[in-house]
Amino acid sequence: MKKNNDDNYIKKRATNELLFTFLKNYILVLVIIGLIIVFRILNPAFISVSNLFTIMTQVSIVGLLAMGLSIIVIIGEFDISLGAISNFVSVIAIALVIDDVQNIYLIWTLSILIGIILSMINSVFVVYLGVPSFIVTLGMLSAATALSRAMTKGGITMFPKSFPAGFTVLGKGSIFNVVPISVVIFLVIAIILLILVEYTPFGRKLYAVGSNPDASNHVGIKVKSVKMKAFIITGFLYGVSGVLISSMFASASAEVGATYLMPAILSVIVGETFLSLGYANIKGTIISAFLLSILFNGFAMTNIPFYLRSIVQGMILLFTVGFQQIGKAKLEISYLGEAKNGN
Amino acid sequence: MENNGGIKSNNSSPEELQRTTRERNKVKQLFINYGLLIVTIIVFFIFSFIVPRFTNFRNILNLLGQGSIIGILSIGLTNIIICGEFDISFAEIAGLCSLLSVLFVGVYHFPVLLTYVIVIIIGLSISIVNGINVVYFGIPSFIATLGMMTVLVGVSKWITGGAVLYCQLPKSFELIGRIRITGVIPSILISFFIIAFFVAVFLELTFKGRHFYAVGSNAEAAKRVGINVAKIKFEAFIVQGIIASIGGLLMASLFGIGSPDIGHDFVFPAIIVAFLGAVFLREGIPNIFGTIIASLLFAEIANGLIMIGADLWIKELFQGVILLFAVTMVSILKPGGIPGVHL
Repeated sequence: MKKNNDDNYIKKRATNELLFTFLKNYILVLVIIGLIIVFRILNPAFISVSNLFTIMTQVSIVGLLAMGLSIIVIIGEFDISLGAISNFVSVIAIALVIDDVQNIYLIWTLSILIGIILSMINSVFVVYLGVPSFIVTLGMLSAATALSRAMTKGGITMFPKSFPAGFTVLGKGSIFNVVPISVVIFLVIAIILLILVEYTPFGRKLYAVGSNPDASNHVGIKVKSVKMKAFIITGFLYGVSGVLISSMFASASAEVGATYLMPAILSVIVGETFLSLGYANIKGTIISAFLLSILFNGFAMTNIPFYLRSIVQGMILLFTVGFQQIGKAKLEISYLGEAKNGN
Repeated sequence: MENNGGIKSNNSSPEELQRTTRERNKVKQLFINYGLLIVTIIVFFIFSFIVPRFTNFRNILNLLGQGSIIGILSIGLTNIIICGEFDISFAEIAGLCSLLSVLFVGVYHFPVLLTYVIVIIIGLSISIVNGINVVYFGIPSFIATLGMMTVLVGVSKWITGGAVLYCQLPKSFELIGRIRITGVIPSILISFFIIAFFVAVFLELTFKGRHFYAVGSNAEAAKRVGINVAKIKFEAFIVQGIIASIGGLLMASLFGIGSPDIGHDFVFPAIIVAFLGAVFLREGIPNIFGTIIASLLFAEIANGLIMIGADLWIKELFQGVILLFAVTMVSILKPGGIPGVHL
């Protein structure tokens, strides 16, 4: 009889914990669903197809930048220059257009190459000179912003009068007039990156280097080479997002990049809570980029007053990270209790 | 008895070498310990040479008055950093408190003393929420306070609707910040010294203060020795809340207006001062004396740059450079790197 009671008790606890764990793991998805519902109630136009694609185009830029930052965070570094680098790339692209370069593939290749080069400069300082990455990228932030300001003559937006054929297709064009091409590009890159980082040996090396460089070194992973490659991949992502920015806005200014910095950082931080992982991961980053874009778009669509926006932003950050942490502490305590009483 | 601790022996070279090395280390120690003070004095002489008005008695008191606010805010921040956490919301708490005090006294005509009590309680509660987030929920302190800062920015904007409050404030309101005792000494300087004195005594001479340092330097070891780490960290946030709100009251007294943006201007200077103070006196460990001297240095530089008519961007450049230097030095010198900032 006693055994039966114990069984029921254990089953009930197990189900409760399963439910709780599920909540904890997928809190991001639940918050997204909640936000969609709330915004839909406040403004039915929120879930229109056109708004959805507006959101997706924002996600493509923020998502690319955030994925680049995730890779850097995974290897244990930080990069605050992401907005500045992609902004400079967009400035270069527009400058090439203004200089009457007609070959769009040349423009795109050069621009992306600039992004890679700037990121490689970061990595030389971090990997080979040993300077803390926060400092290096802070310096790169100032340098790239100064360069952007110089090229846009003090921050005045450059509007080219004419574009070579196909230039604006990336940002403004859509397949079947429905799916924005920027979204397609983002999805393709996201899937490739997801597989690369989460499911290949190279990806495992990224995580290894980030979690314990010394141990990785002893196991035979070339730490410096892995970090360098990570920065190169990130530079590529910054370059692509810079090209998308130039194409989307059909202009270049010195300020655009900075507006993407906070959303990208928040995406990485909030993304760590996905599946209660507690460390930066690609899936979580993509989902939280989506979450943040929905949030900001919803703010604009429903005319929520400006002061409330900050408050909601902060609360969502606190809530998503905090909820995941509560679960952790409680579970630990309960397991401790079980261990004591069960014996 | 050859092992006599370095007392002069028979000119055998190993001992000689030991002695000169020890002397050289002593010089290095001296430099590290008093370097900040020396730099402050040198900068003072440089500026007084360049700009004769610098050494004007009134100007010095002016300078000290301006630096006092940053100094008070940094003292609160120093507490938190000593415990191994970080707090980026302190300036916003002070800003909100200054706003509220102007609101209560100027618009609702509360008695001044009552306002002070209410405002300090409010600032304290905000910090307690921060403490609960960090200690109980386990949210990393950087993220928790970043979220809180975002929320507070929104709240400040909500209260004022984005505007700045100008109102008639009673004379007694200006007592703690604005007036000059005997017509010469700014009362704000006195307030700064009183607070600095109490906090210094607390940190250096009481058991609790030593516990703060212990928790910050090695939380695990502190726990094993019997210090209640969670309680200590929570108390650090309480102290920080009180100091930040007092800082806010002083800000309101000094500036005489309630502005929702005022916190933003003080975030970086206070962080710079806290870290700069850590660099010298205790080789990477934040401490009150370092903070006091560093705030003096910072006020000197800011005031001096204005006096020689430098453009605003030079001052920001200086700020950036000093911050980079201070943060790099702390991350190099302090075992364990920069406290509380985990991504």
